[in-house]
Amino acid sequence: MTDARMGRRMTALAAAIAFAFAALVTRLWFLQVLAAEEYRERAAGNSVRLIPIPAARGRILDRNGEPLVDNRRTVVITIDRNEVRDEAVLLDQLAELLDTTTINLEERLNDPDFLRFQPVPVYEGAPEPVAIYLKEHADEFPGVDFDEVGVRRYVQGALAPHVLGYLGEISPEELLDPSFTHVRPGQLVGRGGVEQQYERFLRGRDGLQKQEVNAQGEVQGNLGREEPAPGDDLVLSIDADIQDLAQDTLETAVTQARASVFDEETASYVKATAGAVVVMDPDDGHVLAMASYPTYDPRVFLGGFTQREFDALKRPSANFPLSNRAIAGQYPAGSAFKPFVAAAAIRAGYARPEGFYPCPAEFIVPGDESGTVFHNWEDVDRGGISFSEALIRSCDTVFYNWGLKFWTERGARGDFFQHHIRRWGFGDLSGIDIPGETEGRVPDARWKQDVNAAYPNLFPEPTWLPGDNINMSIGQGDLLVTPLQMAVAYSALANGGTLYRPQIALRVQRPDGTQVRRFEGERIGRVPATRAALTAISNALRGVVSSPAGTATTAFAGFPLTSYPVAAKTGTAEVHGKQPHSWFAAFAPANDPEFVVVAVVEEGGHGSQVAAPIVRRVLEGLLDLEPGAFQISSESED
Amino acid sequence: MDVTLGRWVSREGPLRHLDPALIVTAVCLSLFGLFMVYSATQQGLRTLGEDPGFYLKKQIAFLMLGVILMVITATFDYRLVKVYAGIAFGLLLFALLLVLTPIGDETAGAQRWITLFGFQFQPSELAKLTVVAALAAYLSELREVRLEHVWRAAGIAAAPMALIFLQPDVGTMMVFAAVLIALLVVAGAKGRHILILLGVAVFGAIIAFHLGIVKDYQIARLRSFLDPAADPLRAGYNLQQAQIAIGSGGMFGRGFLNGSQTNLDFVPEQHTDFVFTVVGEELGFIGAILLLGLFAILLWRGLRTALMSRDSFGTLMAAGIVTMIAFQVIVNVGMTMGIMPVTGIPLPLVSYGGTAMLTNWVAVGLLMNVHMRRFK
Repeated sequence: MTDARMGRRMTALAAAIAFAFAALVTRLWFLQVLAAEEYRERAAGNSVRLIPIPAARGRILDRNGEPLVDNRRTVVITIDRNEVRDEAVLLDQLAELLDTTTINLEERLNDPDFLRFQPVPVYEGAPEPVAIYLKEHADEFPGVDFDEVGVRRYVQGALAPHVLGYLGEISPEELLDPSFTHVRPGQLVGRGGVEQQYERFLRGRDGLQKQEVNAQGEVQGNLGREEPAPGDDLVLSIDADIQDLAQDTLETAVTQARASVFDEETASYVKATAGAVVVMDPDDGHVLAMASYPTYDPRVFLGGFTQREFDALKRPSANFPLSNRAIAGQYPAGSAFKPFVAAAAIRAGYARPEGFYPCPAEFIVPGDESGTVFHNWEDVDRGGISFSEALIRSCDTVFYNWGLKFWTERGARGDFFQHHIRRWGFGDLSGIDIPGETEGRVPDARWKQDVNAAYPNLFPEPTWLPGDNINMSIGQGDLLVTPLQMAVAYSALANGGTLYRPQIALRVQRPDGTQVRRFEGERIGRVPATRAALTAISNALRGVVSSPAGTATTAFAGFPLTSYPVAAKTGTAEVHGKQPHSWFAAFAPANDPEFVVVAVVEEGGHGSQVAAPIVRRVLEGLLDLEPGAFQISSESED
Repeated sequence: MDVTLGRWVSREGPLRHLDPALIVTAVCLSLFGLFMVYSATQQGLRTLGEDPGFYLKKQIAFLMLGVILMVITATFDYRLVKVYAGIAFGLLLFALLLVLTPIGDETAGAQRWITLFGFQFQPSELAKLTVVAALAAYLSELREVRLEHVWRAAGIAAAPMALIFLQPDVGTMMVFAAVLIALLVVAGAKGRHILILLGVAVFGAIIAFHLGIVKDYQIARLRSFLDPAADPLRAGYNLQQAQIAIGSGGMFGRGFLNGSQTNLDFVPEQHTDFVFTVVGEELGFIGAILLLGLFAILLWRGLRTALMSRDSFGTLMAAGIVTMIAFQVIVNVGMTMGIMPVTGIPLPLVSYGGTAMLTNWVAVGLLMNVHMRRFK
């Protein structure tokens, strides 16, 4: 069928197609050759705006999976300055609606971190009805909008705020830090506590909404979305119940002490200004509870928080509630330090567990004509007492004698005493996994010389004198320790000599519970003491709460010591110009220690009076005992 | 030598009369398409953290399957197609009905798919070829095309058109209309008869709308296809972005994988219906002309085959296939440049899509078949 007519019709078809193709090429020529320049400009004008979708921050759980911190949604009011007609009127209206001040809103609105065309968040946590009202009366509030964002929710209220930390806006310096690469200005990052330490796990990865915008910044369309990856959950070694008990007991003790513990020296009730409690597992260094008083409610850092409120927390009259005294408070240790001095004396060969030592009421450095007298805490000559009794009675003069020997043998042994004490973890950071720790101080001749050179008025004496070692032998002088260092050292005493790095995080897990990372207790060394020496000291410390001569026997009256033996030591740390700090450190059960509990109350009187009852109550909680009536003791034993 | 093989390679045997130009052109177009599909999808897939070659690999698989189908199609004598055209047409109508039942899959408000043995396919794509074959079979039997034959031919095309309209897939429906008109012309229908047909079609459509035979939602759907203003934000915007993409390519293009419009995902459906925008933006006027040139060669080989065919069935089928491909190229490319309405028509052999790829390679196979067997 290839006749001529068919050929003509095929030609017609071909012509039609050719005509259409010619039209296409013409149009193509117009677009790509004649108008190319214009279209290229329009392509360049097309730009993409990336709107971050914040990732949900990981939760913080206690060791039993009890949530301590999670997230909730809150309404944030934003203002777009480009759309505002009369700023003053608008802010007044808003302030009234939100029950805040115009100045607060103005301060937030003029935050220089936000660019002119960005909506500025001015108020967090607006109540739902206000949001609805704003929506319904949108035309009366030009430029005002609201946004729902996730904020921290402190499930257990003001529990362990010093351990948890809080969130704060990232600082300009941090923005330059490579570890904050993915954080944008204005975003919140962890401040203090585990929130800061474990930021990289908790943070998650923000998602992105890709929008196409024209030159005017108007949204032209959505170009895709990258979902955010939520942060991982952090499980702490903290036990919420024990933490609660520790905090509660500390606060109760402080309050009661102010009304019932009398300090003869100052002829007034004790001020009991502050305190700290640390509970640790001696077998792995995990911290079960960490309390610091005065404390604060972490909720103050949520929405609507202003500089003024923050300053209020920092005012000296508030006695620094943000400070975590458990890791940053530095105090002389007092007699609670004696077990480590005893260990040093055994190591040096000055003491033997089976030895007997004179315990006079006074001690004078032989050959010293200056008239300096070092007193025992009680005004009685006890005669020769055993090594154990020296600890049980906390006889200062026994320790003075050893302290002096460390001084007289300095020529041969150097700073043996200081080196020994440092190996228990004193004078150095423990390495706990929260920021803000202080080192404390184990003073030596070198230190004394340096401070004298630096501050000759404050420290006029440049020479390391016998009295310096004598004072340190009872945990006084220029020695400073933190409650955490004490807990670490007592843990080593309790566990047979292993020094652990204290640890607050147990593990990191995905929101669905699968484990990402586990933190094992880290051994950082062995203390320089034989097992026999440690056992002798531990056994002596059992007498502190049980022997008739024990300094804390009264404080532990009625405690079931036969089923749960306790080893402990009191401490009354003298500070010039202040009432003494009350110390108590204990571990239990003494035959197989599971818990170390350390308490200190600043200007709280004697160790047995305030700190010992706190530790007793916490131990009752740890051992699941029926708590006895909490009783501040007015007995003023060391 | 085997007797059968001898027949295949004899002087006038089919194997001596392959059309290499046709095959080479079709392969070139498909390879061109692979590059464009990769460019259109790789950035988006990367952003989502997926394998950037995901669509490319699927398309390669379909291409290979298509070439195999082309070889099979060329093997048997095309006159068998005429014998089975009726049955195929019946099966097709059944498949198109199935699509409209709950068995069919719905995507983006249109029901166009059937899932069979784990594979989704689009009966409307197969329908294009089946209708070409059925019309060619019917018209090739006529000595003279009278008005009644025009009506009957229109009837053959109308049944699948109606079913496809209900999906709705107006673009494919228009392909059928184009094929019907072209084949009537080539078969020798009188010009005035064709004008009468067109007049009746337009009149019928107006009556149908006014009497409400066509449901409101169908009108709405149709309107959204024909009139981008029915969906002002999206469709109008998309068309604008498509033109910006093509226009910004200029004479030489911005380079393979370098188009900002393409990489930033400004153009929707870029690996399927709007694949030509990738060509325009990244390869420029030169690349676009090259692509259209390849299509021109393909169509020329098809028309040449139609003219050389030994019988009118071969002629009509080849002419139908040429019309089918030409119409799709013209509407698709025209649509991306804003001179044709936006309808869901892919660019043959280039756009991503399995059923279309296979259908087009079968079409190439049929052209080859007619070309190979042009001697008795």
